[in-house]
Amino acid sequence: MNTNLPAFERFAVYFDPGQIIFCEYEPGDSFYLIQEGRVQITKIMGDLEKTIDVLNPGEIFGEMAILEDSPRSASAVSVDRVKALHFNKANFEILMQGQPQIALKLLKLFTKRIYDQRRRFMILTLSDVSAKVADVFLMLDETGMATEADEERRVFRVSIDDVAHWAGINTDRCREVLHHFSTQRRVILGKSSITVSNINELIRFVSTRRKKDGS
Amino acid sequence: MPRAMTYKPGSVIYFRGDVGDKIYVLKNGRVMLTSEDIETGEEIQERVGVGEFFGVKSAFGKYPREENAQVLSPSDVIIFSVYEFEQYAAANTRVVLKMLKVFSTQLRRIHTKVTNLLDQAEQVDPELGLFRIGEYYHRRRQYSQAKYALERYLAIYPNGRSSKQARELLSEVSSHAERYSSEQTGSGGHGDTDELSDLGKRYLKAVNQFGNGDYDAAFNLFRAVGQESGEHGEYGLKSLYEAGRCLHVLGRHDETIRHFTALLQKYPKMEQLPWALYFIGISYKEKNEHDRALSFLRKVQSMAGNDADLRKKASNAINALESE
Repeated sequence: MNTNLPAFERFAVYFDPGQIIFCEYEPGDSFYLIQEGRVQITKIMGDLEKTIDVLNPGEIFGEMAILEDSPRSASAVSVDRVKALHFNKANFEILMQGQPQIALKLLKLFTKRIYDQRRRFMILTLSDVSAKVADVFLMLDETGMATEADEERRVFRVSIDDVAHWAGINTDRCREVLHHFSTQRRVILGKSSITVSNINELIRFVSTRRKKDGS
Repeated sequence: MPRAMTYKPGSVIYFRGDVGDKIYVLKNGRVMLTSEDIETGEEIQERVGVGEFFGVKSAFGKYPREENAQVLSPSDVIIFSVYEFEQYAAANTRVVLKMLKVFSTQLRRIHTKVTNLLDQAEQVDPELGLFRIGEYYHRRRQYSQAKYALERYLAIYPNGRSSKQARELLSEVSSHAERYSSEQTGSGGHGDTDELSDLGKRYLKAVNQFGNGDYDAAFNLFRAVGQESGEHGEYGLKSLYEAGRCLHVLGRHDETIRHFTALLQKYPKMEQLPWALYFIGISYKEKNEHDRALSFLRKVQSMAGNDADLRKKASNAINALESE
């Protein structure tokens, strides 16, 4: 996509390496399209700054701000020197009309966000806490997040904090559930990963609980 | 090439749960989409208007279809592959904009539902959240980042609950941030600070590895950067200090103690001195050497100054030791 057109130059903004582009909890009404350099999406959890994603040129971030004036859900920090196009509600439509590819890119991103949110909704509406935790692993598996997968075993590079976040429960509660799973040999808790011994067994477990909720 | 297809009444174009990569547009006839409300489980029926697209989201994301697409009367449908749809959309911005509106409404709805469901504990008040980010960066001595967060906090909440504290932190952080940036331009030559040095890049990579929980890799990289850049380099001491933190997180208590002790002997004036002592102290605590742990932690307490986080951590550890 050629967004290096003079017409877009007036939307260009530059960031130095390590500079914050926007910060979690800050209100936002604009989004960015990276043209050069990489951008790190991070979230501070407890006493750690966790990298959720590293984005490359051509990628969009901060797009949720176009929808509503809710606070940013994560921080965006430049990794290299970054050049990005900066858009807000006001210049958004002009941009889209001139550059259908950007609109299309945004459309795809929304598709993914809708799917992710629907999936998360399904996790959160399970009434059983163990089922919530188990369903997080199913979601990770469905979205191809397993770093190792053979037959029924899956390895995920996630922490207890991450799982708690997705399940919408606090870390201590999540740790309890995972320890219980671990004594049942359903999961193996590693230093920087969690291994599911049998993903199909978890699928059956969650599906039984979901049916129970529905009846 | 998109192809046209005629469907008979009663036939089903796709079922819920199917995975497909086709996008459809209704040319004429009647098609009904039937899905299940994720909240109530109730059936939702929606007629596709002539000229409307359907099956877009699932095709884009290769997700299972969320609805049944059933034909009610003889219908002509044009079928696109995702690629063909993209070609078409590039020339028909209006269509994309319309879809974007529909999708953003859907996204906003589901987003609200999810937010409402989240445990209260998960939802941090944005005012407090933003202030805490400033505090976090201050603690980690990432001054320019701390400055950004605190300035934003004060701009948005000039009379906020933490505004007094934020102003104090900001003035401290600003002087550091200035010093840091002048040092940088000083060493980097005339304004030529665009390119991060190789050490800087590796330092950042190690920070990322740490953030991602890959402590072994982070330790090796921090140690290498620290040894290569030496005490005067921008990343030297910082990296060696971080390497020690990795050892601590990895639960390698003896090594943590050795690492920080050596560091303190070599650089007794290092900025992170109280924190280094803290890590030595809690490593002794983990090793059940209570007396040693207490003597280090008490020293930390006396040196913590206005580092509230460190003071709290040290006194928590002391309390735990004393109650045993």
